[in-house]
Amino acid sequence: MGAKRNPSLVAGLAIVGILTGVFILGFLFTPYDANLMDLSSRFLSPSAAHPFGTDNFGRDVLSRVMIGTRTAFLVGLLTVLIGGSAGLAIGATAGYSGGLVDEAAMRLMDAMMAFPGILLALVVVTVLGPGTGKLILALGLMFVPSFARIARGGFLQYRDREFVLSARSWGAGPVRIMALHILPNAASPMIVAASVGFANAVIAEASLSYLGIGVQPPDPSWGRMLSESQAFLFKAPWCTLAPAVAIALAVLGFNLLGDGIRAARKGGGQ
Amino acid sequence: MSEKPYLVEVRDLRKYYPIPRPHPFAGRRYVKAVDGCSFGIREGEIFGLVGESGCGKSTTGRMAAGLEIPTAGSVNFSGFPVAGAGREEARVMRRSMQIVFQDPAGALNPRMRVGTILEEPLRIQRIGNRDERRERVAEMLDLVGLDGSLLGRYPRELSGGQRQRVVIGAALMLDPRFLVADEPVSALDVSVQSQILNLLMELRGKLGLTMLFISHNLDVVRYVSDRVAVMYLGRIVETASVGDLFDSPLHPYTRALMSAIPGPAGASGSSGSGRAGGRVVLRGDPPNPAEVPSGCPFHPRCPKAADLCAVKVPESERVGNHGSGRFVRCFFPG
Amino acid sequence: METPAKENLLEVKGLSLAFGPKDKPLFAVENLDLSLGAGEILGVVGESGCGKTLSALAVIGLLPPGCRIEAGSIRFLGQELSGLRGDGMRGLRGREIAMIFQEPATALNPVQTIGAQIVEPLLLHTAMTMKEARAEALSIMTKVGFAGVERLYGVYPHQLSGGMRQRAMIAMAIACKPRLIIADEPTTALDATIQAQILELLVRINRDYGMAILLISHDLGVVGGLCGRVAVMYAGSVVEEASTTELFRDPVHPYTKGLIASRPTKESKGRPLYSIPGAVPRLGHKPSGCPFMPRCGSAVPSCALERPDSLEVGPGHEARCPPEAEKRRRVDE
Repeated sequence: MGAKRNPSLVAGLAIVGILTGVFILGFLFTPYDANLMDLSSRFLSPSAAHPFGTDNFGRDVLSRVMIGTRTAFLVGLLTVLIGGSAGLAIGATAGYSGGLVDEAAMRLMDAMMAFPGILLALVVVTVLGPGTGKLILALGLMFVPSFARIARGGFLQYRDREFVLSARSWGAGPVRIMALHILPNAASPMIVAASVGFANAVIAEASLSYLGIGVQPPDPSWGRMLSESQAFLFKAPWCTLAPAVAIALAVLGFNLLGDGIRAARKGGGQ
Repeated sequence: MSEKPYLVEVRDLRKYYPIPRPHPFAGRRYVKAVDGCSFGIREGEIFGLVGESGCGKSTTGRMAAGLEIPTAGSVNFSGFPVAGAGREEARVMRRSMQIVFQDPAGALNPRMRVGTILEEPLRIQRIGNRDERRERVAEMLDLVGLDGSLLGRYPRELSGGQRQRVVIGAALMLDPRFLVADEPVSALDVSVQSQILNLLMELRGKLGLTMLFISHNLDVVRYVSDRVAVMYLGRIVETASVGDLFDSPLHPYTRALMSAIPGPAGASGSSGSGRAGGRVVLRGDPPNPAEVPSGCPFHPRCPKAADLCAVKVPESERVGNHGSGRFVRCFFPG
Repeated sequence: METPAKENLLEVKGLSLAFGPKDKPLFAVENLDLSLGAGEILGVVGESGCGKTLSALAVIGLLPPGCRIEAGSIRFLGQELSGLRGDGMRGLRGREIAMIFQEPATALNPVQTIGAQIVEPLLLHTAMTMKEARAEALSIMTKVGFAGVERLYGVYPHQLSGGMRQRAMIAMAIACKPRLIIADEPTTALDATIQAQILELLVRINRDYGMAILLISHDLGVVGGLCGRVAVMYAGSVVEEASTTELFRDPVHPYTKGLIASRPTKESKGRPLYSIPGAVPRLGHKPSGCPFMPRCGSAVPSCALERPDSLEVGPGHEARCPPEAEKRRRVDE
């Protein structure tokens, strides 16, 4: 698969690869302690010592962006995992069984979808109280309906295919049929959705943290860095720019990756 | 032959599908895909089922294979009802009844390798250990005439004929006694079609298979079958031995079907006998199964229809007194 | 083929169609010759992938993207079509050459009424007013066997059965009284009794309007029942061409023999059917000599050397098999 034939995949892989590198590096090494305040070096513009400058407490922005990657990845990964697996379970069951089960499950999903996602997450966080874990739970819940819909579509499409009937005639039970015979075929859109969902989770986390109900201080998060730097946007634009670019890059990367996977599975798959 | 008991017996089989209602207060209406089908297949026999698309022959086949639950009526397999079987009995019975579908591309999981597909029935039924299963797969490949090098291939890497051999092999992995073959050669090219027909006949000889052979192609049905039933709009209109049916079709629909076999006039081979009475080209289309005409469902297209036909549904009547089991559902047969 | 006194309606000579890069073309059709006289019905029979549909699309100038004419000529009414593009081809399409596709369900526009779709080519290619076109469309619909044309004029394709849709397609095709109709598997999607109706209709159109028909099918029976002459295609070229009776009575090419012998018949019941071993070569995997050689029971070493020429084996009977042709000649002498 050359860059010429699937540019989205290549670009997406490159961006996500770089971000993953930063994510892993963040565990091992950051130039400075991300939460170390040094009031003598407030608002330093970018330099060799501080490539992205420092913020109002004299903290190193690069280090904070790196640790923010960790937060973003953690939230993205777990959110997609929770939303994806719950959505898959619901959607697969609904699509494969059809009838009343399908009807009931999908109406429930519709009801959840009708409720604006961010608002839903807001409600959950308000009830449970703020915190990274609760944020992940809230975002995961918000993603369940879209994954469920996609999974249902795939399972519905393959339910009556002849190779599935064959497996039934060999005596296979529903779980085996769903997991072994349908899922590998219906997985493509789920994988794409997971990639795009990751990007959405990054945005959602940033938004909620920006509103102050996501990741709690002093842990750095891209969204909170944005909201905190707002007050001195003109004085120290680098404080805003660095997390903003990070968010944009992550969203772009995972969206491109999703597109690329879609194209690749379509071309080589069937 | 006639003394042998039926291995598979289908009694008054019906399958109705509800039509989605336009509004909640509308009356329930049904598509009567299969509306009272009865036949029996003896051990070792190949029973042909012919008809045009939408006549319900595939649905009948799926019910006979235990893959679809009839709305009414029964399927008995070696004397036991398929529908009322308990969990364990159903499992055993399921192994004995297998189905081969028309489109080999659709009947194979595109993301499984040939070896995995052939092994899957054994894994599902927990037969043998890994090595024994591998051995059975190798034997099966040999039986259906495939090379061992294909084990690691995906279905899309095979030709149409090879795919259909894999489908047949997978259906035979559990040593079934009864095989439903639903248009097994219709999606294949002419030169491959004869290979698969030969394979099926060879397997029948080797394994003593009993078959329900479903097809719209009369030439193929004549070649394969011992007895044949002709379906029209969910009902069997004529049942006869293959010789009787092709030499002297009794139902007007059967006659029309026979004369619709295309072919060069006077060429050797196909199109022979049915043509005798001159070509009958039917007027009109097969009606929608949701709106079956009154009386005999065939009467609006029938060249012989009389007033009676529009009012009364003809019963299936035995023809002749010999034990050939010839039936026709027409007031004016012959 | 002996040169006819007057030029044929359609004359395809040495046509090669290819996919893939210019320097490494994959030939789907190779050195194809076909000729069709005015008012004649020629059948082209072959298995999937033999290039029969592609050849037909080349004639009407509708090759799929990625496929190009690599060599050869297509002459229609003495005019070269292969270099023609845009307006020139559009002027012929529908007016002089029309096409009937296999699947009427997808070939008809689902959001236009049947009437509107039959009127369309009339308005496009003739000077008729809407009123005249409508009257003409109604008469054509009667001709192709619609009962109650006034009502059916305003219905949409999904309201019709498969057979009726195919009639509508035929009505569109014959609207402008073209000289040539290309029918690509026109009955494959239809049931047996409906197939018989449509074939009968095609014969009637040919007889009443004198339109030539190029009938493409995988079914020897359909072709044999309808056509005066048949060309058998294998792996991109015509391997045998003869009158229908001659072809069935005395096939020469081993592939044709195999095709005819492998059909299940009354006589073959109870005996194994003849079957051609192996499968059709895939695009790009064609052997260098005779493409049929790997499956041929009577191949000789020279078959592997080069693409065989088409040789005359009888009056109006050609076969692309030099060893068989040679055998015939020796028997004759």
